[in-house]
Amino acid sequence: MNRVESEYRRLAATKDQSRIPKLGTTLPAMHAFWAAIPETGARYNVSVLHFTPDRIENLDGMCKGYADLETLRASMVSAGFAIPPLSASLTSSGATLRWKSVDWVPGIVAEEQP
Amino acid sequence: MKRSVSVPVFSLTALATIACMLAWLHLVESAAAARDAAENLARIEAYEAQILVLRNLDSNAHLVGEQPTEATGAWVELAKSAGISEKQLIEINRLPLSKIEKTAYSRDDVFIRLDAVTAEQVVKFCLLCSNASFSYSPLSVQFSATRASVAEGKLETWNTTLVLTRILYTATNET
Repeated sequence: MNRVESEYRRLAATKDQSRIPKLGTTLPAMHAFWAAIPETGARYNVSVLHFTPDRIENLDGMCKGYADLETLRASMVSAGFAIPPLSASLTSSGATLRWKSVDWVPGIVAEEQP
Repeated sequence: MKRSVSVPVFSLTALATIACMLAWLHLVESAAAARDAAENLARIEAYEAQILVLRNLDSNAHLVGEQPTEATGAWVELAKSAGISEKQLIEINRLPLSKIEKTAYSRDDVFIRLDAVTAEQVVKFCLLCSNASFSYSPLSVQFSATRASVAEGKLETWNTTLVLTRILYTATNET
């Protein structure tokens, strides 16, 4: 009896998903991000990009202009990233690209905010 | 004469009564043992059914002390499979186990730093780590653009830091 119970506990502890804490993975959000990058039509540079499970923690970079920023944002929104309305500033080298704590909701297109 | 007959009759009756009581007690004990055995059998059958189901599932956690041990060479091989050379794998650092609060589990994190790799290589490396026997998932991946990637016409490369994690079952006497 003890051996059977012990075997059950060992298996339940390592395989029963309802018992095991979920930590998540960055892979799905990373895949969604890279797949959503517009191949043409937007000119931008990303200097820092930080993923945590189901979220872009931080993205820093520059776009050539506001239109490029909006193209990139529209692609990401359609991939499920909840990017808030733009707040960017124009510098001599282009428009700043700065997103913080952007949640990724799989399969759901983030709604455009007015 | 009458008295000498009644003594053995009384003794026999007393013995018979005691024997009956002992038999009754034995019967009660046997019935309880049979009930226990039947309950144990039912529990074992229930465990057996659950064990058969669990054995067919993938592991989502490892037992501390029983997890596959991975040498540095295993990480290097995984990196090579993702197209990352040993020179680009500039740091592999196992972090101390961190207990997940209010659970019997702990996080086993590994910090990795990659130099001048493409995003594709990083994703491939993460996938290989997730599917390897020791099974680590990326919990944090940070890309920082290299100078070369800024130059036009060059393939985008990134200096990348990763925290890969897996869950260990660390309770020693869970009931």
